[in-house]
Amino acid sequence: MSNLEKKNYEISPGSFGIRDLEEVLDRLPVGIFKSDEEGNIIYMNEYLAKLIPEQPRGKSKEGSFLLDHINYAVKECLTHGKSLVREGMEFENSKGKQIFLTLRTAALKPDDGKRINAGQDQSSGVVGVVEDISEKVRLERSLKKKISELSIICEVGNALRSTLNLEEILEIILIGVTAGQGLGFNRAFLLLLNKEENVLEGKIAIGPSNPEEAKRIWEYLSTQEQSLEEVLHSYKDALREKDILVNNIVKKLRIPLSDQNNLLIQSIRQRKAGRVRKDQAESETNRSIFEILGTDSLAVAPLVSKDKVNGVLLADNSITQKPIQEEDVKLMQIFAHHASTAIESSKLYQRLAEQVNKLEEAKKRIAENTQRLWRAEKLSVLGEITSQVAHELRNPITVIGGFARSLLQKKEIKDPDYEYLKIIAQETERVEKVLNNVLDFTKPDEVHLEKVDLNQIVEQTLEMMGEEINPDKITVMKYLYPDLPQVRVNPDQIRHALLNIFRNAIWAMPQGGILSITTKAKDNFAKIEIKDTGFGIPQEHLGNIFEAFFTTKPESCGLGLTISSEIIKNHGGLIMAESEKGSGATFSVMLPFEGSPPHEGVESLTLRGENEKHK
Amino acid sequence: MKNINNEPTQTTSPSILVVDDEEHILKLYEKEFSEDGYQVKTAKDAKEGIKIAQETQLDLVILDIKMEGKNGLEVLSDFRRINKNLPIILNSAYSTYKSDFQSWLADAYVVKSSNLEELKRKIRELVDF
Repeated sequence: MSNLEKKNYEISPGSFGIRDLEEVLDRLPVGIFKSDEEGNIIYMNEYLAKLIPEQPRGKSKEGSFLLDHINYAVKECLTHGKSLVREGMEFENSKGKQIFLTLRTAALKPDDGKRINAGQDQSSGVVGVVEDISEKVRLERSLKKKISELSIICEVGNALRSTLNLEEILEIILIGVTAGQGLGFNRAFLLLLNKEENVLEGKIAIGPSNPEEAKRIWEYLSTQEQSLEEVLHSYKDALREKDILVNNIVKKLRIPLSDQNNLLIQSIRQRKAGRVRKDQAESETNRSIFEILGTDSLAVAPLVSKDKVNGVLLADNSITQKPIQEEDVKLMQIFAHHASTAIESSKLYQRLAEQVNKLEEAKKRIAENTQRLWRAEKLSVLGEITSQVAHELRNPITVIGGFARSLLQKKEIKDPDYEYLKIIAQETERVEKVLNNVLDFTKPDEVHLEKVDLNQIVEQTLEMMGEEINPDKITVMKYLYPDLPQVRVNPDQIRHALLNIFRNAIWAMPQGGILSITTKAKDNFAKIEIKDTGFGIPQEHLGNIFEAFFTTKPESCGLGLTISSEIIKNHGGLIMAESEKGSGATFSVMLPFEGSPPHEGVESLTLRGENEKHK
Repeated sequence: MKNINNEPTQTTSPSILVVDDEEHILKLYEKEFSEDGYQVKTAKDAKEGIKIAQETQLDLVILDIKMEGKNGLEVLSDFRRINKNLPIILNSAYSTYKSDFQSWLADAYVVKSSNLEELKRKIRELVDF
């Protein structure tokens, strides 16, 4: 109309009658009304007349009819002389459909009045327009819902990506399905694929077991005002204990993959989510699902990522009986897809973690073996040197001691030299003992290992001791475990190690006693326990008994137990000493079975003792 | 020590040959065994020992193993060839040669020690006084 004069289209007498005007007004798709100066409605068009009987929405709510709103607005307008707008009023039309109306009013002052008909009075009162904005509101609401759904998916997706722990992932899935801020189902159930047995089996579930409990939980949750993300991370602990019943229920579900008629299996095969009602269930297998879950209607979504089937997600509204909407199922399908990806990542991560563990284990084993090898090499080099030095020493010591003894035989005890010669003889004897121990220990065959029965080694060692064990004083008790697996050792060295321990035990029982030797299998180790009833080891000595040159025996050089300990450690084993007051001492030797890793504490001896100082 | 070889053999006291490259060991053994009433001859290596065995009537040989030149185990059979009934005691600072089968040809194996009792006991067992 930019280039047209408005006055060209004004109503002029004769050309456009009052009937025509009424016709136009009635056909307008908005409600129009007019009041007189007193506020009485004196005109409404047909559109408005149809809207007038509509009910205020919600029967229990205190609401007003449309006409009441109009009357009120007109009075306000007349009293204050100003226009009024009420937007988005909610009503229910005669068909029960929800509608939204906007009401606008404007006061007509006598000056402003338009001449409708020549000769008539100037118009005054209030005019108003009622507009149906239901479509707009519906679109807005639907948009809001979409945004909210997207944010649910986003939040749950973020939560799922935040962990690789399968348990946590499963919990987040179930909470996402049931939380009011999430999909808002009453209960959710998760079934996972058991690949070994080719069955779908119920794993975990979430949800109240009865309406009272539901009310309590939901009221509690509604007071918390948490976002979905907060809920996902916080309330799983609060719910876990209360969900025993649903968890018991879900564990009853066990469906073979071969059951083609089963709706859960079908959902997986078709990779499709859906709603199923109990009355639609035709086969026994499907009826039993509803029976077990105690529900009439279920939402089902397969947990499938790429080509991998992980399981199936179920949800229902058995407590509130709220019908499951197509929208809910769609959302659940998207949700299930995220969940599957998370489950798949978690499984991959677990496999990776296992591999890493294995590698680390292997690395540790290599490091240990390297250390043992290094130790063995060092010992063998040391051994060679020691052996050479020891042999070089033996000749001069023999000569020195030999002459001292020779001279001693001819001296009178009174002779001042007698004592000195005796000292030379005794001291050389001591040196010779050290040499014997060192030379025995540094035999050159130390790396030759063979598979042996430790029980036999024990027997042989006892035989070797021969008359050292006086049968009148010492009782030997053997408790040898007949099925002891073989160990891979240097038998000479192990015999030597045991010999020193046996000798130590015999020495500790000068008045006689019981030497008991027990063999047993413990984890990956063969264990030999050597127990005596002698005077025990004082507490303060327990930490030193394996140290070189530590001894409380005047005639000993203090190498016996050191050598035993070195030999056992070289074999990847462990030696321990325990002693309790008045009940002698117990030595434990642990040697790894063939193929087992060496003892972790191989470098540090574990020593225990309850003993008080022996008097 | 040359004149030892030239002395006439006494019928009453048994004759012992000690073969060892350690001079002081020879001195110790010579003193100890002669005090016990044996005739003691000494040799500082295997070659010298064999020579003495060929030239004299011996009742027993005490033989060191690790020596300059031929070692004791190598000459064991040479001594036996001279006199197959000659008792031989191996006397070494090493105990490891016990496991060498060559040492089994000897009548005894005694590891050196300042305490000569074991060696003396073996001599008594092997020599009729």
